[in-house]
Amino acid sequence: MALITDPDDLNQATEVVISTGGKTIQLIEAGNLSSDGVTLQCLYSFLKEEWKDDAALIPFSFPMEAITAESFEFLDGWAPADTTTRNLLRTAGWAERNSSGNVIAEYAGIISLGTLGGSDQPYYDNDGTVTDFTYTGPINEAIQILDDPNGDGSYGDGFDRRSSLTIYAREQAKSYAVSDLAGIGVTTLAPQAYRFPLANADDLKVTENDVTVDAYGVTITFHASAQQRDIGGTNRDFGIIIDGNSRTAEEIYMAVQSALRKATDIDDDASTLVGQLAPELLEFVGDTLKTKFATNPEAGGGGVYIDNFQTADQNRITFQDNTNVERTFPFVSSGVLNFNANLQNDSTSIYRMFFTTNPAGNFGTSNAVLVDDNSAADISGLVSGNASIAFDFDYEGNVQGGRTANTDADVTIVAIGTDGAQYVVATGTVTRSTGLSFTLTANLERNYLNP
Amino acid sequence: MPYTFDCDAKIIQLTTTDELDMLDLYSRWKDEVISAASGCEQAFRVVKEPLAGSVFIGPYYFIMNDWRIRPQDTTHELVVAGTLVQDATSSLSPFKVDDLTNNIQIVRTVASEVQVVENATAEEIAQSIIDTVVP
Repeated sequence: MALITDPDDLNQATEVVISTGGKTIQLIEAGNLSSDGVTLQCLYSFLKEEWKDDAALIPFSFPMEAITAESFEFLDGWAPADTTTRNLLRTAGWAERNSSGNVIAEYAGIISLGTLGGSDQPYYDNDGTVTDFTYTGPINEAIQILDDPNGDGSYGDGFDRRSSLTIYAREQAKSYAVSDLAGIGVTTLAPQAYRFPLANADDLKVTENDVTVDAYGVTITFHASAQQRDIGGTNRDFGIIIDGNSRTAEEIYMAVQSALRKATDIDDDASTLVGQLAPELLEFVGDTLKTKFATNPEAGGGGVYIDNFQTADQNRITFQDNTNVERTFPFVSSGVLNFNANLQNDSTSIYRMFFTTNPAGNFGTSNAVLVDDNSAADISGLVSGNASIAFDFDYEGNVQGGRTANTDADVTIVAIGTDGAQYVVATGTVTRSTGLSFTLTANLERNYLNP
Repeated sequence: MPYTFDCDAKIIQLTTTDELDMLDLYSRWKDEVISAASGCEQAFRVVKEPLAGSVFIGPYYFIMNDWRIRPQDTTHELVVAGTLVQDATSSLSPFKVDDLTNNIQIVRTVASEVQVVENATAEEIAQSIIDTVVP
């Protein structure tokens, strides 16, 4: 069945029970009414028709007043009969007044915009705790925002939750969604319907289940003071630190996403923060893992940094610091040198990578410059039987011999053995990329002599 | 024979008047490349490929990239043992003699075909000779 919007689909004693003695309107999931509910506008219209046509009702005060099509009031002590009834009301908010005309309760209608899976369980926070919406899937139900049982206008006997609401949709292997009052330009909730953008989709970066990723050992700490981290030689401040425990970027992301669905404390220090209420910290844009500027409930700042990520991921992680500026490490190019069997089999084989051209001396001169790797060590050494040897290069920072940083480097790679491999030279370009590959194929040596 | 290798001038300086053994020069150049860690251009390549049995064609020592061999500046006859040829990457003569003040006679043979037999049996050596004489 579907959401009822036509009063003709409602019938007294079947879907709607009217108690003039108790001044209650009760909705029952029967007949045409399912958990899909009924719009409050429809119920209001139905009540008007019944009051007009039913001689037993007309002597009593009419229960409702319409403020707008999505905002109503229950009057003179009339009210929905129970929680089930309130949960079945759709696309509206309302106030409930006692017989003295004082407001004793207010409900805001919460409607989500966008796609949510039918079994997705959205939840909200308007009092510092997690509360699931009654129904799964796209949201269209009311939540209580004001409670004043004695109707005296002070809420010590109840609560006032009109100024804060955050709704979440966090499902395993789906993108996370969150929306709050600021996001829809509202500061104080009123008894009416509100529409919040809240949509999710499959998250292709989550490929493992929670049990697996929870064992990765990734932790999150929300700090009360700024934490400095050196990025490319400059210290930056961050308030939230993720310890990646030497996991890949994808593994770190999966572990953090799982933590954000935990109903337990995920803050890895003495303070407490329930995972479900923690801010989103990471997102993938393509294959780049980006930290988000987050709301840190402690005073350390909203920047998010990842400790102990894998070096191979350095080029594809960006960090949002406490000033909400994206920071990245200088790009490190990387690749492999491949050696053929003759070079591998000659235990004396060596390799060296030179700049083909360099202000200090081109290859082919005595001043030729050996290329440094990202650790400032020469890219040279013994082949030592390896079929390939990895190298990296400080693309944005290498100024050897006066060359210009952040430019492609033309290189000449030489390999030579003694009695097993002849001299071989290869040329190539170290670009701003990973996965570079240069192959050195030396002819078999049949002439070398060292008596 | 010891040699000195001038990377910038691309000169291989001979230090004696002894016979120039190309196998030795090639081997010492390789040693130099390995030990010096210099970015000099390649000076030599060698072609020596196996034929049937233990017969090899070559070796041909190609001097490359305008590297040149400079004899010792003493009047003498420099005998070159081994087939030294000029590689396509070189435009200059393999020997640099234009700045010498003494007379040096360079005796070298550039064979159109070179074959060597290594570790062969007597029968293989005989067959190789027969193949050469009676094509």
